Amino acid sequence: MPTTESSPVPDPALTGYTPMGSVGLTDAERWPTLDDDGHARLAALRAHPDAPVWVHATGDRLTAADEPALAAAEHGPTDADWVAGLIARVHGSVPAYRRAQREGRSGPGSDLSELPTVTRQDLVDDVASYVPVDVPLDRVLEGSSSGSTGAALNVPLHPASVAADLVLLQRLVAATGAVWESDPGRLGLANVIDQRTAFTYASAMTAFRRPAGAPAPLMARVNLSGWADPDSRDRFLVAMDPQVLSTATLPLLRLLDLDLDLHPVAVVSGATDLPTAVRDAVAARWGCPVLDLYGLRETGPVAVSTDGRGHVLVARRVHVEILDASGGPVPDGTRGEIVVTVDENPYLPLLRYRTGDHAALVRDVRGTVLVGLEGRAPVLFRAADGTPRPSIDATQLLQAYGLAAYHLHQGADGSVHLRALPLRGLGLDPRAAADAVARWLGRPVGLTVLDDVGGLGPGKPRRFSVDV
Amino acid sequence: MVDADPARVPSGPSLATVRHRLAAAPPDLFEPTVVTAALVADLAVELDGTVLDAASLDRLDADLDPGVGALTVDLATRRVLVGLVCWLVRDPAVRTHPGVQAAAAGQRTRWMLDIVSQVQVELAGLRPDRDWVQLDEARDELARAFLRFARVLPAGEDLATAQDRWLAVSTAYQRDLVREMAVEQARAEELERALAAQKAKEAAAQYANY
Repeated sequence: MPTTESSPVPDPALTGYTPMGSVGLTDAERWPTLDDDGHARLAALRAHPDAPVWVHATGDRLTAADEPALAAAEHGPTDADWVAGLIARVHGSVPAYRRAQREGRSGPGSDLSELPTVTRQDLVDDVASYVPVDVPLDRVLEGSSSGSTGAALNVPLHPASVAADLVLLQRLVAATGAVWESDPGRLGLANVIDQRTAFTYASAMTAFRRPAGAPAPLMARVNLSGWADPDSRDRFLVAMDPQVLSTATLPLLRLLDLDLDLHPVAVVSGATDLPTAVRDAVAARWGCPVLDLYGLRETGPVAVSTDGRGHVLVARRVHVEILDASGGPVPDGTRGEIVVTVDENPYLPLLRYRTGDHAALVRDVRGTVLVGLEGRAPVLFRAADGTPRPSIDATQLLQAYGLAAYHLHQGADGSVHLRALPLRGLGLDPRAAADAVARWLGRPVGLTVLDDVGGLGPGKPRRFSVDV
Repeated sequence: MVDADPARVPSGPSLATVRHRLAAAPPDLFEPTVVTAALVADLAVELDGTVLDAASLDRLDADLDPGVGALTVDLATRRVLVGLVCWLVRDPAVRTHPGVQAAAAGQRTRWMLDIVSQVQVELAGLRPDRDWVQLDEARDELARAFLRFARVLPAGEDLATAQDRWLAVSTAYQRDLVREMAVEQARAEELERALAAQKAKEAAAQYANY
């Protein structure tokens, strides 16, 4: 549903999305290091005749004091034993671990495997127990994470660790051989979403690594459903011709559908699984690398896939274990829950954080690789003979049949229904995908063919569901 | 206790032994006329024939017996604690216990002097003097502190149990715990305010989607 100036908020409960309803700073506070030329370019972007309604204003909040952290983000961690250092540190400064030490449950010399795992619910219940007591809170930013299920979570983020994401993206893009350099004629990055309501804003990327004197590239967060006039949206995107499109599967599909004259240097996809068919479509359309980034708001980026063959751990202070349902380690190559230890955000070091996502871990020349990443707890379907069948099987099937997006549901009576959005132009019949699922479960499968991604509903879509 | 090697801590006298001995402490240990330094020096001779040298005796005198006129509250309470430690060490059930002998490792005077100094650091000023022998919980605290600094476990307890029970009776630990919890509580409230502030709500530009 397009968002218009006269009716920017579709529901009274969503007043946070009233244009500029969550704004409290001046531009000088948003970009403390941005020069006059940068402010002038930003003003021009905001005032562009085809610009969307900017629902929000926000900057990167970076000061000169953040430069060492950003410079460090240009390469990975240099100390191999950072996990041991983190364990020692949190027992002195993080309330949950200070308590554990007082009660003799763990200590600065404990091994990672001796520490309890931490769940999203632990953070929902009492995030303060995981925030070090010795870090000044004067730069706390609110990071909200809706998650695919359960209560929303607000975690404290630090401007330098948020901006380090940009430095990481630069590294990942450069590693593919693509060239992403400051170009005042184009938008440096567009964060593209497509939802009923969303924060949209224009910003300057002062953290962008560049030669001295080169201007800080601009970026914008835009909502494809956020223009009253679609022609205006199309003109804006073509005029800005973003160097990097940072988005997720469904908005990416919509962008491909729009068939605009864009020339991205790279496409970054996150938040949801990226089907092979979509990756291939991007490569065919724009001939640029596609980075499928896996991470959580709480942890930041964890792993990236540049070729669809597994997600390689990114070079940050991030460590991954795979655990079984009882919390025990599984051998390499065996599927289990991804559990992350990360020391990047000074406000929220996390040890053994349970992501709720599943994969197997292998180690090869690329490093540590997550294989078969499934972006939420696997759903179990029931075959006609009663055997449980994990959703990972269906993922492989449905992707093989060239579906761009889908939702597979099994009712309490066992009946199965597939809602499918086929990738256009490949001449594939979604009925074939439904038939494959029918063979897999030994049951008939109902089919609804969708014309656009809106048919899957707003927000982070669930791909599988069962009524128990 | 996470950082100690359990194999190195021998089992000592029972807690009940030490508690009973405290309950039977002679009242004159609380008198300001007691020459506490002399109690320590005599005990050294008794333990292993050590005659403290003149310099050590001068230090003990200066520390524990500067004269009645110089008796501060802090000094009075330290003198009582030292007197009670000497009373406990003098108990044959304690000093001849095989675990104690192993812990002292042939240097009994050195071992006794360590207890004397550590008990003062740990317990001085925490309770009224006579409570250490009259109140159940205070006797527990002093008995456990004594065995801890004597480097033995209470008979029948393993290291983890002894550690847990020590923390449960330790006035200093409980005081620090309350203080740390107060710091953490204030910090949690500060975090809540920081997250709710408009400058946090405005957040920062995001470059990737999760």
